[in-house]
Amino acid sequence: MFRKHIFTLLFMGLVYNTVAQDSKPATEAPRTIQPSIMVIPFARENQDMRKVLENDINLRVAVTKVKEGFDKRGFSTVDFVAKSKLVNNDKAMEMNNLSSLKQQIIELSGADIYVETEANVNRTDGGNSITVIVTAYDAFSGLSLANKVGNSPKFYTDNFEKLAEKAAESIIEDFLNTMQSKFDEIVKNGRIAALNITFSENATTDMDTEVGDTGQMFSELMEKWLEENTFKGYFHLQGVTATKMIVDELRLPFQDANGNNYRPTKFAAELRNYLKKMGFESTRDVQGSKIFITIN
Amino acid sequence: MKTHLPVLFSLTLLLATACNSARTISGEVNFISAPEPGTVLVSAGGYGPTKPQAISNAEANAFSTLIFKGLPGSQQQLPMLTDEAASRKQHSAYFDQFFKGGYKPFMMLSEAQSTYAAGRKGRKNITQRVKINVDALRRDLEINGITRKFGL
Repeated sequence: MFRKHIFTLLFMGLVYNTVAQDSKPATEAPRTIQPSIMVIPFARENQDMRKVLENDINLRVAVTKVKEGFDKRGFSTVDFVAKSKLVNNDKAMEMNNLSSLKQQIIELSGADIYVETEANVNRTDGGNSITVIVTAYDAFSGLSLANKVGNSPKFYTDNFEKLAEKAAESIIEDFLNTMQSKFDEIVKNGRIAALNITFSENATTDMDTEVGDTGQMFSELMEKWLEENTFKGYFHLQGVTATKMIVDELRLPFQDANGNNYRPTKFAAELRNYLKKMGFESTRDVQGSKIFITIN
Repeated sequence: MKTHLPVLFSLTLLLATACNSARTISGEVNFISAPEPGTVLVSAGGYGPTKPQAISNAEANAFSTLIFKGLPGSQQQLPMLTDEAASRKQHSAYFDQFFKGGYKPFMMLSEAQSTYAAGRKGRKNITQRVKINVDALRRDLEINGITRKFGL
């Protein structure tokens, strides 16, 4: 009798083990929306980025190595040189404002993130080295996503291209891992934006105007809408006066219900539609991640 | 039969525990170098009643630290998976198989750095030098849906 039960138990154990080992891991990777990323050379004020890149082989090596790092993670970057050629340089020159060239390239490329890369040569008696600095920025908000400084070892050599390669290689993995951790945070907590609601001079309403039959003030209505339409209801109201509402931080989801990127322009459009439904005409202006709504 | 039940229960419990092959997870993993881009060489300590078990524990420790804790001083300072408890729970089948030897395709080298001997507390242990193909490991984690691909 005892022996019979032992065999039954052993058999059950075996079956359990087999079933447990056969249960396959999840094979479907989570859906990932790839932001568009452009690696650009660092240029000082009044410097033409393209010329800086064309005249500096070390910088070109560093930029290429950074791009390679993205490629290795299965990520294609927007090509800076190709995009910069599309920008009307003459116009920028006429404006006598070369820093706007950078802005134009970023805007034209449609890049969500740009990675600024710098390579500096260090010559010492103990040998030569190169320092590479890479910084990733969110193109919408200007927020810094990741920064790393890499130094090549010192060698008695003038082969600075090789040194630039070494310096970039020493940080690229860590840099990408830091960027990914920031992406994970965005997915978890939403994207940061800011909102200003003001009234035009001709507007007949203000924040204290009671709307409809509910007796709710316009500002209360706005707060309620923000509660329902920001990511996880997160927003921080800096202040409200009769003529202005300032939300210095609100969180937006990084994708909409259809799985497309959710941009601040979309949020502004939704707010405008809501206002229209409530009988208010408005205009909107979106600069990066800052949204300005003016009630007319 | 009633007298046999406690014995049967104890036997089953013993078998189940043995099958789980409990490991001593320790933080004795130190970054040595990155011999080539996309690889790391670490020294990892492992405990076990036999030498093969201690070696296997040292190797598993190396992978566990790289995936869940990160390796200070290396380019893999940040862990590949930030929430260890949630990941282990959500992907228990993958990690059970992985730590039972599924990590071996990503292990480029495993050699003894010390002899298998009793340590200060009398527990026998060994230190292994383990070289890991980090790029391949990351790809495997991505393909199996354990970690997110680069991007949002």
